[in-house]
Amino acid sequence: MAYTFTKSKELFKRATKVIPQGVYGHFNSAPTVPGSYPYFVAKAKGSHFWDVDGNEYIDYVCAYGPMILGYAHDRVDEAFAKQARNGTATMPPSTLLIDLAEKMVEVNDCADWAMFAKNGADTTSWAIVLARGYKRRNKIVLANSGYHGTQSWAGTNHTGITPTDRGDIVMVPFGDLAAFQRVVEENKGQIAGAMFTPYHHPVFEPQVLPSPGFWQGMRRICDENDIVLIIDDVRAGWRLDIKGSAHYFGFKPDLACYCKAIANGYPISALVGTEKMRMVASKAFQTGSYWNNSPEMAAALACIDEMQMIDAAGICNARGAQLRNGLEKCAASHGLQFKMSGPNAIPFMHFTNEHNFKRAQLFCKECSLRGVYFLWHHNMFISAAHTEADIQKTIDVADQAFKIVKEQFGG
Amino acid sequence: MRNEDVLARIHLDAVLSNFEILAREDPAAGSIAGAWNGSILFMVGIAGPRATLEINNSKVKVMPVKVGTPDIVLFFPTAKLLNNMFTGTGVGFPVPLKGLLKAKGLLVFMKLAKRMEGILKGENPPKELKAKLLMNTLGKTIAIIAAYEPESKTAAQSIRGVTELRIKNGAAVNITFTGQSVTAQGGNAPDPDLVMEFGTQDLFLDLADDKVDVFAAICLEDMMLQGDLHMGDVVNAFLDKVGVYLQ
Repeated sequence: MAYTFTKSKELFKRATKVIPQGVYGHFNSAPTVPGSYPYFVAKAKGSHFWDVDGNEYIDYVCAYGPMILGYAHDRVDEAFAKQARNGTATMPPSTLLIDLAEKMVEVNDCADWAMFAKNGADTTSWAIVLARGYKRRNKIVLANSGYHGTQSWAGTNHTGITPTDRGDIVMVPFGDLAAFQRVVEENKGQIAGAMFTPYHHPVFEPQVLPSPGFWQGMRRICDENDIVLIIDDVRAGWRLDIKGSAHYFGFKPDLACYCKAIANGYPISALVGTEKMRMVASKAFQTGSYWNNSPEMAAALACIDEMQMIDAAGICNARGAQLRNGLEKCAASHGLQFKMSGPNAIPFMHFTNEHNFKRAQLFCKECSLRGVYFLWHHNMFISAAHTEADIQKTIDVADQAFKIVKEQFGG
Repeated sequence: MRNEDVLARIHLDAVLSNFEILAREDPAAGSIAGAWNGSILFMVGIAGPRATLEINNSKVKVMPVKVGTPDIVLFFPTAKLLNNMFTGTGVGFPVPLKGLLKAKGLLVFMKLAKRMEGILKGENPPKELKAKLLMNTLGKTIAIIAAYEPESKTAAQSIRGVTELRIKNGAAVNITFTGQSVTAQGGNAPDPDLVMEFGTQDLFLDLADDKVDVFAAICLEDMMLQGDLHMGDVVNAFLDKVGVYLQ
């Protein structure tokens, strides 16, 4: 039976009366294909969710990354609930603060220490403060189209941002070592830090993996010029390698930012760093009302332990490879030019013979109407809860959707 | 922040070109235009933007260059002086280099301007005409901001293709981004890369008055956004700036 969205639309109308945008930020469905996607979820379990109209989906967005072990994961949820009964936001904090920091130092390749916050943006902003404090310099180098949150320095917004907000930000193309070297020369002694994602995952574009030697070159230039190398591993973290995406790509940053999958959906983020950054981290006053909440820490401890135990990154990679191979083969059988870019666990789909995404939008729409929740404009996320059967069912649905794309566009 | 040179270009292209639509579609404006045949050249500085407004048999034509031998030449030493005249603020008198004795031409121009203001800002305007005028203004203003405002120019150079703004079964404008240039023209494009469609004329008019929650309208399917949303993201930033230039 075809999916309908009557309740979703009614609820969205209700929301618009009291909430700007109805649903705001990246949770707003405007970039999907409105009319063919749900706006509100009723429940979620494992790799599936059910919308308020009762439609069931295999979910490849995973809340844009936080879900990695499966929704409503018993072990993580119980750890959270048990700790919540012992109090949440307390002063002084719970000893879980120490346990979690020790766990981060144990598992993460570049962590000699760890500090915690709530969102990814808390940690990227914190990292910039530490980089600027390290050698008392101002400028920060970022990659064009990179995403580090919606703070005014990050350049995501164009409303309410002044040129001063971005005055000390220098942009370079991702992966261009010569451009980075040039910027360093042009700003000799002024660059405090360089913040990049471990590979380039912009929206609306295929993903770009670093070329061999890129990160080692970055490390060398940063060392030669006393620049703090920061990895924003908020999105990719935990899905490529439990030791961190920097370890996956064979280098060691000075600071690394984590969030999303760290606690399978509970709100907590982490900033970790090397010994070199410990002293400046000890001087900077950074805090937030809920940054030391203990239930989220209990959830993170359970989640990290579970990820270690089952090799979550390995499962995500294997399921992602199955999905990539299945979809590319299926598309080719219809005579369509379809590719997935980026790591298997965090793929981005596109039709290589278009730049305006019209085929991708139709494909995603037809999949959504058949219970597969894909995104065309943003990378997707594979979880350890996705089963081989989920992937096979997805490929079966995609087969029907590809057929419609072929009929409408011819190739 | 407002760039006076960009605003002058908006006045000389996006705003003046509305006179063409006005004289063609509004009988009262056509009648005003019918009172004079001739041309007016607007000049900003020695090397600044120019536009010739030509009136002939009730028809108006606007061209972004000096055409022939204009009857009246209005020279504005700075963009700000031209902008002040168009917005009716501050000192905005031009230096009339030619046509001092052709006051009738200037009177016709001023009457057309007043008529347009009545449609755009008055009570109970003819909505279809107002929508056409605003669609033309919006499309051309976006193109000028993208082509001439320094920071927008850099963003515009990153996109290629055609954006179409349209009211469902109504007025449309399309903007072409080539990486080197940005141009806007009225009407539908054959195969736009990005379509921004307003479900109703009223919704578009509300948008022009900054009364529409765009993200909500898209989700409620009152507005449709289809195609290259990366281009949409960049165009949206230009669209946001239209209000900075045109109140």
